[in-house]
Amino acid sequence: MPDEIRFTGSNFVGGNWINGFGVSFVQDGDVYVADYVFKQHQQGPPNIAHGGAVAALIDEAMTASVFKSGLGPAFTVNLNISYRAPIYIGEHIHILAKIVALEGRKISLHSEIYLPNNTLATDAEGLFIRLIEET
Amino acid sequence: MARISRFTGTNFMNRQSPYGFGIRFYVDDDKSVFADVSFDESKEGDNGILHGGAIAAVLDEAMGTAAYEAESAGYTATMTYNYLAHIPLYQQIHIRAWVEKIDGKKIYAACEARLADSSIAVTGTSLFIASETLQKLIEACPYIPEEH
Repeated sequence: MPDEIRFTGSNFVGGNWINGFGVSFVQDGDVYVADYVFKQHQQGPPNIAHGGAVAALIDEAMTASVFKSGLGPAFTVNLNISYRAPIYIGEHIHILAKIVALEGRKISLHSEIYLPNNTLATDAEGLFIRLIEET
Repeated sequence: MARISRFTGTNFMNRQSPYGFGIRFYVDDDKSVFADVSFDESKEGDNGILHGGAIAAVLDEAMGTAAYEAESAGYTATMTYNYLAHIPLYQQIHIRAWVEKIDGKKIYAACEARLADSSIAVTGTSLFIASETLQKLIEACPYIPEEH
């Protein structure tokens, strides 16, 4: 089995460190999804997840989409996030990511996070660059 | 003279690794904020390279702190990062953030992360929405960094 299929996540977000996000993404049609609950140590504003912790989760979702689609290794070169609603600590959220375009070594991705009441909390665009272009 | 920021930071930043990042920001005379940090494996993406989300988190906090120092605490509305070079673990990285423009409640901030050789690894911009409520909350119950 090629390495990219076995992508189990980064140390920072996939890892089950004491601080770890402990998230792994699964395929659901053409999107990769996960459910997550932000914890107290990921707090930014009082009772709200740190925008940077949310960014890390989004980056990981996009990375999982790239690697699990067999397009890895690849790296983030641009990440653009809009925060539309706060994500509270302890709230069950749903994150999805998908590849929207593939052009040479460039992979364009889109990601969304939803609150339990299906409100859109964030949407994001990412650009990844593959190390190797398939010929 | 640079001084330590009055904003002691969020839980996510000021707790020591591996829970957090163990970072406190300093403020320069021009109100830009900075910190020198290095990262361990708990923030790794792959192959000894820092996770793109980890540096995004640090830069978000840096820009938030710059907004706090220049104007007011606020919520992140948008942020954008450009990744120009990999950041190796255990290298001292210089983080700096500053406010570029204030327009009513909108605070526009920018930031950069430089490698030990001073080359730029990541640049970013963000828009914060100033919040009086958040400002009061922060002032009323400041985050207390853990003792170590």
